[in-house]
Amino acid sequence: MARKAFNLIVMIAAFVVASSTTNAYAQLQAREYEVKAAFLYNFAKFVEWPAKPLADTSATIIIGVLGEDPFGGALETIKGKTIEGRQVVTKRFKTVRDLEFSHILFISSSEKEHLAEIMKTLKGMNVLTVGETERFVEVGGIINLYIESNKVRFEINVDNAERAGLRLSSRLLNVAKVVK
Amino acid sequence: MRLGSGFRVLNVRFSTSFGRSFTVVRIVICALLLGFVAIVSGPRDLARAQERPADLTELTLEELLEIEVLSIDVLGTHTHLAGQWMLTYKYMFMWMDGNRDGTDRISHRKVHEKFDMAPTEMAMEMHMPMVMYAPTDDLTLHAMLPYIRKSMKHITRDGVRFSERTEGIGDLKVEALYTLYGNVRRGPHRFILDAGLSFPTGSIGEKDFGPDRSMGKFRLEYPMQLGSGTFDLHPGITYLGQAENWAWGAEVIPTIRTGKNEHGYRLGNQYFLGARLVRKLTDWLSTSVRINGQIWANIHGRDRALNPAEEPTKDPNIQGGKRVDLLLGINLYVPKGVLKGQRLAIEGGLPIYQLLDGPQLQTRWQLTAGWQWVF
Repeated sequence: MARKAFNLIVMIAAFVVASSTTNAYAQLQAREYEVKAAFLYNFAKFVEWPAKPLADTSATIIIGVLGEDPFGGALETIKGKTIEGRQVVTKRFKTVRDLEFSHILFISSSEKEHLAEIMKTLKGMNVLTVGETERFVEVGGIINLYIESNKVRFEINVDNAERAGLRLSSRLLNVAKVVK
Repeated sequence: MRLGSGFRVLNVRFSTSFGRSFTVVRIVICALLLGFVAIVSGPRDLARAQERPADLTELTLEELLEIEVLSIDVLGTHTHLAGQWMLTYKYMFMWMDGNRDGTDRISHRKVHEKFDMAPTEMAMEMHMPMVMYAPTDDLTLHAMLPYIRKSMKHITRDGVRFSERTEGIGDLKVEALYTLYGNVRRGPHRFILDAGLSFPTGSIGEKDFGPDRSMGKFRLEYPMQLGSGTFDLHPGITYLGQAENWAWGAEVIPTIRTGKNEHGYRLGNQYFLGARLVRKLTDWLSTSVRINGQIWANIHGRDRALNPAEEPTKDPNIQGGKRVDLLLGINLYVPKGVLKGQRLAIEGGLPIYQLLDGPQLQTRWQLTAGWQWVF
């Protein structure tokens, strides 16, 4: 019995040691919200806000999340990065009543029942609204993220972007599904 | 090297009948594992790791659009994304050799003190085709119909040896896996409710010849039948966790028998508790270690065609037991290309604890190989 237990321990130890000597391989895949966080960062590069919010060269670019935060730690990867010299800051808002200005506002699917109220609150503000809910762009949202064939895609409502006073780069429109 | 009923090579005993020596299986499993790890831990993996940055914000929009969202990969997810199908074929081989009463090994002569016959060894093979479908991210449906082959060897008090064989479909099992907490897309922690039901499609009337073939075929003992004969419930709960290169999980799944079958008995309830740890080595290879604990109760009622005094396998009151198995596995996954979404898994192991309401045949080792295709 002791010999059998010893042999088992040796086998397990060899297995664990062998496993731990290899290097972790860079993922060719990524978690959904890591990809979506990277898209939020990229959107900031291809959207023009009116001069007023960004007049100060030390101004930050604020990316907010409204509702239940699905990103986990994924948003930390973009926090502190810079876009054209402006530092990215992330903020979280539990409800529409907590909202402060954000250049990009990700509206979580937890808020899908409150979209009308949210869009009404944001009316006239130069906010790029990003969602992940069916019909998001129909109720006033600008960019909707969705999964197709295991990849993240996005659709853009250009009319809603114009109403928000935002100018979207043609490079962004070329890779999106454009909705009017 | 000696030939005959068995032979030795390098002091390792091979039996020319069923199964292989425990020592050889152990050596083969270790060699395979170390070999795979040695092959995949070479410098070319580091070079490939430098082709793509770990920071996704360094990718262009076009490159981000090409990233596969991590859903099913070498770590596995247990459930699937909405609209996904999965086909699986799993093969399992279990070898049982020698008798045990409680935790003590006993000889067949000891068994003969009370019974006319003693089982000496048993092999069981199961071919398990399965299909899974996820109508939503939170719900995965699963169906499995096994094909089983069993063989058992016996020895009588007079020293007459004989074999029995059965083969056919087992009990159909359907299952719904519902995510109670967490999300298959986001991770890292999930709790999944398992609700399973098995149908008595496996035969409980299997027959074969005894030691005297002139007497014709007799109903075979409980372990040689192919099904339970009853509708059985499989409620359970599974916990899954996942990090960058690790996945882990635990599950509790009882099997609750209902009613009695047409031969007047009901197999004992079973209780399964398992824990698993998976280590991702590359995006196509992972290794795993699993500990499974099982408790199974004695049979309620009795098949009147079986004489409990003949052999312990025919006594319904000594079929229960407890066992803890340690299993090691390798999982291969195809992340891209024509064969993308396919996975091959091999797992082998043996009991580290057995307590049987014996005398019963003890489990020596088991091997499972499986293929999966997600699309």
